Amino acid sequence: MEGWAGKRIRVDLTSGKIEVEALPLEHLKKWIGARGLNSEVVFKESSQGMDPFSPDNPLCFGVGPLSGTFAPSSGRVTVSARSPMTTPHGHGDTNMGGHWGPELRYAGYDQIILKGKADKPTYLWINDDDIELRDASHLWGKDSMETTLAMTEELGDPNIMITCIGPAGEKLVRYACIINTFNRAGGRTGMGAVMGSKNLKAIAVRGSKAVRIARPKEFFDMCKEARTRIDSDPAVKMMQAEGTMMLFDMANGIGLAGAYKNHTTGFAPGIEEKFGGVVHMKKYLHSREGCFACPISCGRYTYIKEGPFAGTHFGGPEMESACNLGPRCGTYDWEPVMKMVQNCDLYGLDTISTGAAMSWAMDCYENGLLTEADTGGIPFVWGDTDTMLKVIDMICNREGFGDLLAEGAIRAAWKIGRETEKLVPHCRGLEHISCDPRTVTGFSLGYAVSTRGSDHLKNMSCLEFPPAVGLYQDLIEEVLGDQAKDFLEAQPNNLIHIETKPKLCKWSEEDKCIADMLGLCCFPSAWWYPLRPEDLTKLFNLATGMDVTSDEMMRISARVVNIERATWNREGSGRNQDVHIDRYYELPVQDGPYKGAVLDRKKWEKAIDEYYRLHSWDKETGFPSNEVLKELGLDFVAEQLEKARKEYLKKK
Amino acid sequence: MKVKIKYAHLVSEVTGSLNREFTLPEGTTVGKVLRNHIKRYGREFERWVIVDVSWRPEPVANILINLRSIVLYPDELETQLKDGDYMIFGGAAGAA
Repeated sequence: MEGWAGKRIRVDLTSGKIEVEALPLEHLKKWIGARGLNSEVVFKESSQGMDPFSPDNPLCFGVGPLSGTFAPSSGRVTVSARSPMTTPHGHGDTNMGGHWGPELRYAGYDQIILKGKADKPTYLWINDDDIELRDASHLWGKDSMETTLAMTEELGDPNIMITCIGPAGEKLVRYACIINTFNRAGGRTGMGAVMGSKNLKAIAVRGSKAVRIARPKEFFDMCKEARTRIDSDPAVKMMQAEGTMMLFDMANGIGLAGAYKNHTTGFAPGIEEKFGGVVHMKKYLHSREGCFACPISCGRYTYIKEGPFAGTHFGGPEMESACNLGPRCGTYDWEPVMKMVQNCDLYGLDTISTGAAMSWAMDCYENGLLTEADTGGIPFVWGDTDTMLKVIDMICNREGFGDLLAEGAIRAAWKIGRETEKLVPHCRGLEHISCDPRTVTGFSLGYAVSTRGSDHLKNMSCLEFPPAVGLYQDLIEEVLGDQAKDFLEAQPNNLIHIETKPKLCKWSEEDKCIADMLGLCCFPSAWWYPLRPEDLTKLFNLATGMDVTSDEMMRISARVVNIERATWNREGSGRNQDVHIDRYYELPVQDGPYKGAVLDRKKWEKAIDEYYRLHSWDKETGFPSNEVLKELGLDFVAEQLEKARKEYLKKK
Repeated sequence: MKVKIKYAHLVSEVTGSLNREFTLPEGTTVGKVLRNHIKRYGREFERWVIVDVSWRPEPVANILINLRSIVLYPDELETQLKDGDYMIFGGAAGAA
């Protein structure tokens, strides 16, 4: 087989049984790879009402047909399972870079599915065709770096790639993440906690096989051309210099992001001189890091030379980590924030949900909804970085009030009561990132309909940002068709006009899914657009020998989005959860260029109607129609959704 | 008339400041401000502000006027600035 490995590993951790299954070509053509393969398993092999910590929850690691090739930025892995973090426990997944994914391809596999629960701490060791489960008791309790170093020494080869959890995953912190290659995190939706629930500490991989390419000469030429295009993008040059913080600098600089003080103000005022990417570059950047085959290398390696945190060095921070532990919690103080990012990576905590939990507590504390009687004597004051560092330890160890915050902000709010859930910016239990839903309405719609809870990485409507209009006008016209004129003429207010966003949101989610299925990073094709769906499709065809059109590839993406949506629908989650908290409809942005911006409920509902229409989803429930499921080859999904649809309507 | 200029990202390293306010004669165009900056700060400024992207036939001006993106079409460079306008040089970091 060319492109794909054509095999996957299935592990039953309860019995210790390991099988290698063939993946038929028809199945691979239907789901492509990585996120596509995983999402099919998560729907098919989990059931309605499943506890994500039950042994039956299928935990999948997937790579794509371009993983491990010369295709640019082809080091991504998707990890999927039912999420312990979201409400209800719907589809969860996370996507991580590094070098682990390509190594799995070199070992000869497209996917790993793990079920069951080991009777003691265990790790999986894949050495080409030799696959075994090993005792990890001596690793339990170690942080991600200690684990990686100990396993590297134990297995005796520095080229072995290791993905693992830290103590937070072992203690089932609901937003525990997975770390690979020391500091590449699969952050969101609690996949690290799912690993912990299975007593699975790590997966080590070493591969020595080739990835076969169907048309190598043309493939190589196309990769070269793709790299030239990526290199010419102004964003790439800036990201190489500043890292992902440059995204924050820009978005916050024009009043769109920052999540300042738990998303209350719309953006973080006066932050640039203290906390921006340029400040990091000048004061703390030791070197740049890249994932496998990446011409961008957005990764940072930080070294703090002086002050209370002198000597701290680690891989990071990336933008959302810094933003959610920094301005979201009311601080612009780089050094303690970087220490927090480092600790979260070592403990295996999602930095976004960690920041969200603490900023919720600070917001409640300021408003008198949470007192020291609730927190065990801890004052949650905006910007108190000493306390934050201690609280992160408490969350990881589930100590005192940290045990409550380890449940995630929304569950903590439900436990505390007093209407504190109104102060949790989230959709489906997963907290927002730093972009403000009132001002970036394409993202806003994306947060609400995302198939893993609130998130920007499923529906990246990046064409709505003002700079994109100059750079990618041709693409905007192609995507929006007859709506393009209104969109372009309205700029920069196109950001707050939600009317054109359903079309943009749907296109963006399908465009992004192509990269996820192929095992590519989103930056070159879904954050900015030197590569388009037709380019990714061409790379896919040249690697696999297939002859798929980009329209067909977009429909395969739609299949994946629909099955992920169906996993939610089966839990009773549909239109009832495609909304934001009241704050975004009631509290206008306080300052800056978009002062006064607020979501309009009528326009919101209309946008949801239109988004459903474009998907052929039922307007009343937000479930995919039987017709569209059948058209996408998802008859088995349609059958299961019938019961859920009736239950949904009955409750309504 | 007064015009505010923000130097975003690494452009601020070239100009040595993040924000400035200029008093300009009425009728000053975007192109004139751009050319004056290139003259003063040289190639390093130009590197971040005039961008050749491989998928467009002409270079792109990495400039926002009142948060509106402009490209380097001659007509747009001839746009006359107004009192209170807000320019950002080097702001077009891709789509974000």
